[in-house]
Amino acid sequence: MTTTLGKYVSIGSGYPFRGRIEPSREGDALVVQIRNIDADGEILANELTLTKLPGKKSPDWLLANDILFIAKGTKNTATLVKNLPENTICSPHFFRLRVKPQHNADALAEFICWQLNQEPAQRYFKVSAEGSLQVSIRKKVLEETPFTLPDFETQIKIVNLHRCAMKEIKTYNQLIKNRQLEMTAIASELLNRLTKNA
Amino acid sequence: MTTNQINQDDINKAVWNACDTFRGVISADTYKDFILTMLFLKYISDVYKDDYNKLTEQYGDNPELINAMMSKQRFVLPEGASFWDLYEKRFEAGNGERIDKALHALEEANGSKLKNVFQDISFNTDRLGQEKQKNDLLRHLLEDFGKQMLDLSPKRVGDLDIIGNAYEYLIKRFAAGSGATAGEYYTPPEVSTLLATVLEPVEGDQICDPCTGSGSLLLKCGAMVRKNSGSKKYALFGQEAIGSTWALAKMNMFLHGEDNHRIEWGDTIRHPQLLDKDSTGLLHFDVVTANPPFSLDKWGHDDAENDPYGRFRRGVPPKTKGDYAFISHMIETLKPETGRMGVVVPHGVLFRASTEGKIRQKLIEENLLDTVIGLPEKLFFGTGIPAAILIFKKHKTDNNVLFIDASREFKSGKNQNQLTPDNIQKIIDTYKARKTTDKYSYLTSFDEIKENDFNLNIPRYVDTFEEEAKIDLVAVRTERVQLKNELQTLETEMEGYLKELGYGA
Repeated sequence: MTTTLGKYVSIGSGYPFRGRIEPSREGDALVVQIRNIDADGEILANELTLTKLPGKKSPDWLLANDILFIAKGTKNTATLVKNLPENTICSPHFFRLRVKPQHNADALAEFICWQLNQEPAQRYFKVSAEGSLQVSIRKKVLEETPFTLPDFETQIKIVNLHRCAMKEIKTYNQLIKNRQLEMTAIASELLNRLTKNA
Repeated sequence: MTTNQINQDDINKAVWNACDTFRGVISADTYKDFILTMLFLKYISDVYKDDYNKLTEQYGDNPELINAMMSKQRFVLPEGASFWDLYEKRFEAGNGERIDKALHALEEANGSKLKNVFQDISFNTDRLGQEKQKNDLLRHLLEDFGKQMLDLSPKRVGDLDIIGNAYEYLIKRFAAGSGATAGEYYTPPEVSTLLATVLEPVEGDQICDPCTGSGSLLLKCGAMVRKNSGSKKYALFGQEAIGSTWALAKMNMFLHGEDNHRIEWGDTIRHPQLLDKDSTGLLHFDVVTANPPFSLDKWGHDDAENDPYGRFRRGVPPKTKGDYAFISHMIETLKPETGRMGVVVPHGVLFRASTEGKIRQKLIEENLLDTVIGLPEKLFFGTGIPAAILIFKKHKTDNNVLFIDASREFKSGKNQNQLTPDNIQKIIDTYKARKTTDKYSYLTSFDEIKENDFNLNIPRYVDTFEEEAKIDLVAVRTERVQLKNELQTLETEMEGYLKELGYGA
């Protein structure tokens, strides 16, 4: 049954930074920025910026199983928050998606994240992105993303399949690297042998 | 708003805002001359007014005495030529003509000091539009500069630096905005700071920049003498080929209080102007520094063969690349004992063969080359290429050459990279230590350069490659088998999930 994303998740904005996020050693919050997300959609937890928040109000810290959605720019992908430090927030370029309490039992965050990164949702974002200098997805548009929620069992299976597929990509990349290493080794050995003989 | 304190940012903002009047009417590299000239006029007018008021206070109502005293001031401002006279009449027709006349009168009244400075600028030009539009534009311009914020009188500004800095700020903003032409008159401040620090100008030095541009490199050197020796005893020399840029440099000098300068107008290679008393030989300097145009085409090859000053005795540089013409000229203007020089060059200068290779070889054989510093890319305005700094010394203490590869340490920006104070300090420390450091600098001997056929390409000397680990081929093979097994397991696992989802074969 196709419904919309807004039915299952609540959508919040990133922390409203004005201008540049200044790093500070005495900072009280870690910030996830778009550049902290690698090509595989993983958050690089070690590279987050520590900064001092100007406001007095305690921000809405990220929780495990939140989904970060890149709203600004042409690459609108979703990333699952796994284990980040407690005092982490995200920059305003993201929307923070959180499964609504009444759906905790039947909606898997990882599955939602997966579906947002698949072709049908991506095509929807492509046609809905607006802006002159930089395109972005509005909150309303994100809420209305067409969405299907199968039963919980199926969600788990798909998520598992997805995890395997990601691992497969990684393994293939390692294989390519492995071959390159082999070539380098052969090349330098050849050169060494020749110089010795010369 | 208080009238006593003024801060640099405010004044920068105010002058930059004055440019809004021109924006959209004419292009930035045209209106920069109007703005900068107006700032200069405003400055001398305010100083004059201030002095006049002071004298009136002191001597009361005695116009004759006061006028006599005023004629001995730094600048003489004839009747009707001050900014305020022009400001008064701003609503009448003929603003352009009035400003031009005022500038002309100013030039006349100040003898050789301001001679020809305003000859290239005309406010009464059709470039500003039809008569009515032009008059309106200039009225706005006068009003922009007439604002309280831009009161540049000494009692408000205090020292000269604020105005000089505002002038430099404008030049920099114009350079950043005007693309290809910008490199012609402006060297990025970090590079001029670096040059000035490395060359260590001291009290009594005569300093020359044969490609003066807007003069900021010379001013940095002057400031460095004051910092090093606490003395104002030094002389600045320069030559600039483009008339409007030359005028810019002159005004820049006055605004920084460097009244003791000699900057000539003309082509350094074809017609060097800084000559000795009999005009037969070149003047010699303690410090020569420049950022010459990179690989200038048509630099004057035809006459170089018979150069009356013998500057190209090491060889005539190729027709389409003027780099070694400027280097040769600069070398020939160094004093025999104290002479030291810093020049910004494109990397081709380090390794190009043919005539350039021969000139390079001779310079190295004469033991003139002291240091090569590789700079990061995208540092200069109008070009993205990485440049290098060559330091030459007439009197070297060893026959080594120090190579510094500073190309990988900078603050990266969108269109323009920057050297941070830390980056600059590291270069200077390395230069002073004159030692080999890992992946950053290398002190090489003459013999080693000779072995390299006098090719100075920096990577030949400063090795920045990471030591490659010895690859264990057996381990590589084992890993391969392991990875393949992993893939097999994944395949089976995924097959299972697919079947459960109803997609099984």
